[in-house]
Amino acid sequence: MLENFAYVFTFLIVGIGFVALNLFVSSLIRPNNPNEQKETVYDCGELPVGPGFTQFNMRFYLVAFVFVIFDVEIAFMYPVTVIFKDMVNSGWGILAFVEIALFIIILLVGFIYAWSQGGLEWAKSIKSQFEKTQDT
Amino acid sequence: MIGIPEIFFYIFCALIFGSSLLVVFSYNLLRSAFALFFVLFGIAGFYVLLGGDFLAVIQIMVYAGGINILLIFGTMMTGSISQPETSNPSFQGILTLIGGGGLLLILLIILNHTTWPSQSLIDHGPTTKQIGQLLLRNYILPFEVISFLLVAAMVGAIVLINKGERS
Repeated sequence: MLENFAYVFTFLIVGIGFVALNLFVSSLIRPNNPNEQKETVYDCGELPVGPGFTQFNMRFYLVAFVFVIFDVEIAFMYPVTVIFKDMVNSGWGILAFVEIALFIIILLVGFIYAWSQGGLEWAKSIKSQFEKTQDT
Repeated sequence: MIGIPEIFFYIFCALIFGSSLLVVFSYNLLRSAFALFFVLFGIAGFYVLLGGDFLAVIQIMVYAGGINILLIFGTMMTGSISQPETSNPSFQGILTLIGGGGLLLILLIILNHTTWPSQSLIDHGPTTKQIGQLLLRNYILPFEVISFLLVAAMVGAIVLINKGERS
């Protein structure tokens, strides 16, 4: 089995080496004459406003959290998909299908809850602020 | 006689040790969070050496790829991110020192007093199929309970964030 991971290791080395080699070669052949304007933060051509180190909105955390939840779900579904064909051939296909369907449905309930609570809406706070200014 | 697995063991050891020092001693919280990626990656390497191929891939997918991103996001939401140079003080008071030292002592005592089942590495081959069979035949209930646990975590996060936004 360790031999199989030799391929993984080869990919890793080639991947890291590719990036490192390209950066090295480009550092050899590119012109290097920086000035103040070139060293400003590139922000879609706009002049940057304020410091870069600001506190981010909590909403990012929820999206990252939902990602981790479904990441774990995939992790548990993967071994099931590997043996699903064997289960079908040995007559246990329906059971395996029901089990995995139940697993997904329970998680889907959580996803629908996140959606219904507006957890996946980006402009929610901006919209409510806009409505507030409309009322007054 | 040092074989190839031993060489990799020491490479991963150096990776984990070096990057955990960076996690602890870096004054920049964001750099600590990034350095944690290499610690988690090195642990995945240990899993490979121990014959847990599925566990190694899950370690990279969930911990290095998911939880670590969550941690980096979390550091970006802390109030002290505006001073990145001093956001992670390495020394955090006497009580933390006592707590950490106590934990180290307990771990050392456990390490010394336990007889570990030591056997030479057997090549088990790919383990994903066996894990799938165990999940669907022997451990059906825990498998379904996992999804409830995940939903509970998700609902908890949403409730906390909505509460935080209202206040």
